[in-house]
Formats: sequence, structure tokens, C-alpha cells
Amino acid sequence: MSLGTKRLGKELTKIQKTLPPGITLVKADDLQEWLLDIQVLDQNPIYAGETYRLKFRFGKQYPIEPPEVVFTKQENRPIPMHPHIYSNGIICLDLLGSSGWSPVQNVESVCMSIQSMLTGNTKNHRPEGDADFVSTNKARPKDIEFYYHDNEV
Amino acid sequence: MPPPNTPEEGLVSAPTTTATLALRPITRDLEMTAASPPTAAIPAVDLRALEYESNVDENLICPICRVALVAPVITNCDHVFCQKCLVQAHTLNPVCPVDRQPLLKLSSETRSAPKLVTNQLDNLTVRCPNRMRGCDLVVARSLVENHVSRYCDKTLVPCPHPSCDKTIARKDMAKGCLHYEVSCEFCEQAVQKADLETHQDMECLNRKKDCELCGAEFVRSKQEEHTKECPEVEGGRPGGRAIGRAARRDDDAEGEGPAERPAHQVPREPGLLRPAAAAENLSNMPLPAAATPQETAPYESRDQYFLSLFETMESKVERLSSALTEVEGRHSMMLFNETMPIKDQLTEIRSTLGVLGMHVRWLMNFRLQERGRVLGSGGGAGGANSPSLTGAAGQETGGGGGSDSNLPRRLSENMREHPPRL
Repeated sequence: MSLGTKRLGKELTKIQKTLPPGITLVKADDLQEWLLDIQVLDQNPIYAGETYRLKFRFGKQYPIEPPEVVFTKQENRPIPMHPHIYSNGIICLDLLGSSGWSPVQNVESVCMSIQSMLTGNTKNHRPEGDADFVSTNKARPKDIEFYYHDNEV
Repeated sequence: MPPPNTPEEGLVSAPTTTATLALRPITRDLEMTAASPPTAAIPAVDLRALEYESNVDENLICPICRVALVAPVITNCDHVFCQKCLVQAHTLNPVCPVDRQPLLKLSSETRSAPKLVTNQLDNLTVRCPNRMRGCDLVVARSLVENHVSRYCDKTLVPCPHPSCDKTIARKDMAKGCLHYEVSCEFCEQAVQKADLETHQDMECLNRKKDCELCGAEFVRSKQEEHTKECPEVEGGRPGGRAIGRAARRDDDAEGEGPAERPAHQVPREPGLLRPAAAAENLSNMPLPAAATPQETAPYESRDQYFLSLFETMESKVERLSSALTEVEGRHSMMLFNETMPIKDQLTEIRSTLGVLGMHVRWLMNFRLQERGRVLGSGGGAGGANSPSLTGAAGQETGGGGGSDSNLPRRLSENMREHPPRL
């Protein structure tokens, strides 16, 4: 058993037991793709009453390499409005890129980071050039070279 | 088979011990010649895949692989990782995974973790990785590799047949190549001869088994039906099949009397057994006829049985001696810890004594001087007067005595003026 599967198995048994408030496990049938729902718990008017669905995909190198984390759009599960989240669900977060990732992170900590990223947001708009990016991007989220220019949000 | 050494059972244990010791090199040689080529081929134990007997302390878990640390290293920023994990993480990103402090060169910015940590890791108890094949041993992590590669009966070793490239459990080594198909006498399924035992013990649907919860016996294929009606089931079935089996085997072993236990049960508290006790156990050792069927079955000849017995004893002695050294170390540490404060107190007492002595000498000196002065003046006066004037001389000495009786008061005055220096 490789490092990744062993660790994912451990993470799974842990999050099946307990998860922080506002985060629920939806589906984890295998060790490649998991679905989790997150809610923003405080009364942020942009996100109040909504639930968002996150999709984790784990490569063979996880946890050495970051997982691919995107929001997926479904009925009742919109893509949250945020200046760092594109309308196709791709999240611009340094934590999820190769340089910002650390193998100490795990699914739970990533969910909490995204949750707090939404909680602290006050700008109800998409990133600049969202339409362009969404129509032209074919690369996997992990391979996109984000330019982390904005540290205010 | 008649027990060959029954008449000698009454003998004292000492000769038995010497016999074991004398035989020890021989068993080693045998092992070397017979088992060393296959031993080399046994894959090393993957310490990360081990099953730990109890929950491992969070501080001993690698933050990367989330398993008890294997070959721990510590960074200059004081974070501990498995060496392998850190190397992997470092190739992607040359920073400390926990606090992102730059780690330019692993060789200069990390060192192996303190002995304390490795000792704690070594002491973690794990289950033998051959547990699925029936070995129920629980052993310190530092010893598990040795157990699997040299002693565990259930370790898979290359088949002794030269043209067969399959593997076989070590206990069946002497039976020749068992890689031919036979049909199970209970379910008529075709099974490899080598797997027959496991098949019948674990899988065969037509074999009877006991329910782990209520103890009722039923045929394995009826498991689901029984689960529905089992009185002890509440919700999910607690405990896997393997755990239930292990518990049952323990019960069986207990039923056979305590004297037989050491033969097939590895002692869990080796520190408590003294060498003499171990030797005694050896003389009480069950002989092939008395041992459990499980124990005798794989051995074809008596020699082999004894050989395996010796190996068990050898591993036991090894474990004992390691436990002994540990106990010794702990003991000397304890002794040291206890004598240190005593020594301290002694030196303190000695210094207090010295100071006291000084005081006494000072006081005595003072007193002697005082008396010497008084006597000197009194004597001088007495000497100057003629013996006929004894009355006057007596008066003089009387006066001297009077001043003498005043001494303490003056002394205390003196003391007040010049308090003794401590």
C-alpha cells in the first residue's frame, strides 16, 4: 500500500466520524474522488442559506502533491460568488497550488481554509476576466499558473 | 509418539539450560545453512503498513503520512517527520512542511531525531504482519522485523522446490512443493495444497465456525442468517472475524493448562520471567504428544519439532535478554536518581558540621584565652605574695574567681559586639 492510499484511508475514517461544523461528507466511494458540502455559518449576506459542493480529486502523489479542489455546480449547489473563484468552480488559492501546498494539510484543513476564505469575503463579484478564463481554459486547475496578486481577500 | 525425555523430567533445570546453550550454536548453524538463502528473499517489513495494538500518541505521528514515525528526522525548526516523507516533500517544495521555513539542504538542516523519540517508537507494540495468515503475535516494533524475517511460521518464503517460483509459509517448508491442486474435503472446491489449511480455517463455506458474539456454532455459509437471529447483535457487528478468531484461540490455549502456555504463546511480559523461570518452563515443555494439534500438525519428524522448539526458545531468550538490559538500564537510572539527592544532602550536612565545628572552636578558644588570662593574673598575684599571706592570696584568688564567674556575661557582651562570622 502506498503512502497516499494509506493516509487517505486514515483521513476518511476520521472525517466519517467527525467534521467541523458546516462541512459534511457527501460521497467518498473510492480514494480518488470525494465530494463534500460546505456552508458558511456566520451571517455573511453573500452566502447565507446556501450550500456549496466541493470536489476533491487525489493524484497518486497525494499528500506530497496537492489535491485538485474545485466547486461543482448542481441543482441547489451553486458556485459561490468570490473574487478568487471562477464561475466554472476553479478556486484561486495559493494553498492548492504546488508552491503553497504542504503535505501537512489534509482534506479537513483545506475545507476549513475555503470556508474561512468565503466567510471573510465582502466582495460580491467574480474575478477579473472571468468570462475569458472560463471560455478559454482547458488546463487542469493544478496546472494553471495563478498570479497571486491580491492578498486583501 | 512416546515422549523421549519423560524420565529426565524430574531433573533439575540447570542441565536443561546448559543443554540449550550448548545446542544454540548448532541451531544457528542449521538455520544458517537451511534458511539463509530464502531469508534473503523475504521482503522487508513495511513499518508503515503495520497495525498498532493501541492508539499511537499524536506526538509520535508523522504529519505527512499520519502513521507512527519511521526513521524520524528533525529539522532545524524542530519539526519531526519520517525521513522518507520529508525527502519526498522536499523535492516538491524545499520548505519545512509545517511552518514553511526554507530548508535548502536536507543534509545540513535536518538531523536524526533524539534517541528518546526513537526509543518510544521502538517500544510501540504492533501486530505481526502475518496476522491474516494466522500469527497472533503482538511485539515491540523494533523486534517485528526480526520476528518476520527469521521466526514467524507464517512468513511466506520461496518454495523449496527448485523449479517452483511460488511462495509458501515457512512452517510448510519441509513438506516439499505444495503447489498442486487438491479438492477441499468439505466444499469440494479446488484449492492449492499450500492454501488448504487457510481455506478451511477462514473461507470454506461448509466448515463450522463459532459466532464471535453468542458462541453458537454454525456453518459458515449460514453466517448472514445467523447474524439476523443472533441474540448479541446490536446494530453493526463489532469486531472483525479475525479478532473473534484470535480471542477464541486464546480461550482454547487457556483450557490446556498454564504449563503448556509458554510453548506456543509468546509471553507478553517478558520482563517478569527470570532466566531460571524460563529454564523451568523448558523442562515442563509439552512434548509432541501433549501439544495442541495446531502445533504438531506441520512437523513431520521429531527432530524438526525440536528444532522449531529451539528456535522458539531462542527468540524467547533474545526477547528476554533485551528486556533484561532494558530493566537493568532503568534500574541503574533509578539508583542514580535516588543516590544523587542523598549525596547532596551529605555534602550539605558535612558543610554544616564544618561551620558548627568552627563555632565551637572559636568559642572554646575564646573561653580558653579568657581563662588563661584570669588564671595568669591570679597565679601571678598568688606567686608574688609569700605563702604566709595565704589569706590575702586566697582573697585574690577569690576575686579572680569572682571575675571568672562574670565571664559569661562579658562573653555575651563581647559576642554582641563581634558576632561570629559564618
